[in-house]
Amino acid sequence: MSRGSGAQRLIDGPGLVADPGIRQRITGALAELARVSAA
Amino acid sequence: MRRVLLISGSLRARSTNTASLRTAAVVAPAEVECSLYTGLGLLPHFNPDDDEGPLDPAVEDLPHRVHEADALVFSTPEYAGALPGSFKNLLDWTIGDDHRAAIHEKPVAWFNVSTRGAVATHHSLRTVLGYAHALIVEEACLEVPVPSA
Repeated sequence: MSRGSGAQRLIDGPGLVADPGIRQRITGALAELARVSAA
Repeated sequence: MRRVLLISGSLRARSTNTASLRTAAVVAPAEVECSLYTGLGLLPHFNPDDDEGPLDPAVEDLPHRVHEADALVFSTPEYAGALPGSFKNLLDWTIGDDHRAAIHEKPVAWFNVSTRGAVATHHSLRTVLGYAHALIVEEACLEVPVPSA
């Protein structure tokens, strides 16, 4: 199974953590889950 | 503090999906404590006949981890247009748990991190989670396209 270099960077480098936009989306998703689970 | 269990649908050591969940653990907000489930490869094939004691240790551990969590996040690849067999196996073991903290009505979401998307597998995941009566939190489901070049 081939894997694109973008995915490779995600695993080998700082990956998603280094992307402020993606980081913000993941943090926001977890915050939303926390909010719903606490309701 | 809310506890979120992160479950990867991939057994691959260098999985993009697992990487996304490790990222989630790093960037989680202060009020969220994440833990990554690592027992996917230890679960035996689901057999309803084996759903009562004495249980395989991996089968016994999975519901405990689910019960301890306030919410679940999945990230799974798509294999041949469907859920990976090992991941579907995990989901099968979670169905029918009548504990008050089981997946029933538990908030769940998924992150899709891939170059090609995984429409079929997330459609299938939605069906299974619906069957389990999990509470799918649409606002927390993420599509994160990864560039292929």
